[in-house]
Amino acid sequence: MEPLNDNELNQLLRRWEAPEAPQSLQIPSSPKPSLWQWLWSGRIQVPVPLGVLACACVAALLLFSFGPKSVIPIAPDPARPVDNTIQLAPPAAPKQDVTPMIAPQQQVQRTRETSSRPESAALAGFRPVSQFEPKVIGVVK
Amino acid sequence: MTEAEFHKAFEQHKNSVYRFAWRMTGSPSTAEDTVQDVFLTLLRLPQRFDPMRGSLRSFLLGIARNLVLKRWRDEHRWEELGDELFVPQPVDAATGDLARLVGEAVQSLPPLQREVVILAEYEELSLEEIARAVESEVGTVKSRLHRARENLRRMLAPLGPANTQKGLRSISHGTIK
Repeated sequence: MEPLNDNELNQLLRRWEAPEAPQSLQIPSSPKPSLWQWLWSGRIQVPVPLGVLACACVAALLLFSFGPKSVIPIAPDPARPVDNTIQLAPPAAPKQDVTPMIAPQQQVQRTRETSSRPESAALAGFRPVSQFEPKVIGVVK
Repeated sequence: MTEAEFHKAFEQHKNSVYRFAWRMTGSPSTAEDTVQDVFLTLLRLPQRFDPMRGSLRSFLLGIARNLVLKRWRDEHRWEELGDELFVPQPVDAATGDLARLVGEAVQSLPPLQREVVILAEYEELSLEEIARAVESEVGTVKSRLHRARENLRRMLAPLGPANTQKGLRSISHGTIK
């Protein structure tokens, strides 16, 4: 059987016609997802700088909240026993230690003045303690 | 892609996509489903179309081709998609309608040959456009088209004028008598 030539084949192929798309064929439309579906499968576009900044903020917040606390180590002084207590002010001197530093005459005068005048005026004869020696306990490096 | 552009694309190319799917599958309902799926793909992923790489029509036909082949693989998963073992059988010229015989001959081709014949002969795409649509090299497309036409020549030979006195008359009248 002799095969067809190009022209005969083309003529035959043109005989096979396809129908047009039916009128009932509707244009597709993507259904709008519900809010719940959108929360699970929705996508949003975030500019890269904004996304990087947000990630950095979250990372810094997490590090600040749960990261290790910064501790300043205090080196122990081998010559002294270690006491970590930090005293910001010198301990108040007992009353009996202060009293002998004021001369008895001044004390009498002060007593008189105290009885006649308000207490704020009693500082006239005040003299600071001369032999006050503050102690620094512990060394902060 | 705006909604107006999408509507315009649908009106312009729905027939082309439908005809291609109908010729590939022979099923009107499958062809309708394919058209819907092709344009849904365009609606959801319009960025996949690059005008620099070809026309919108060839892009849509490429999507349709992929959908048809996926369906074919699902239904004939044990059959070869290629054409190495294909043996063309001449049509029975005594069975009647010429158009139907030609259609059956084309649809009996292996899928990879069938698609290039339909895209080249019926949708009139260039070899480059077909190559983009079927994701192959131009040389491969040319080779497949050549083999497909050779197979069709043999299958449709009983309808030729050299083999039947009624051949030319049959072609001109569209029926075999």
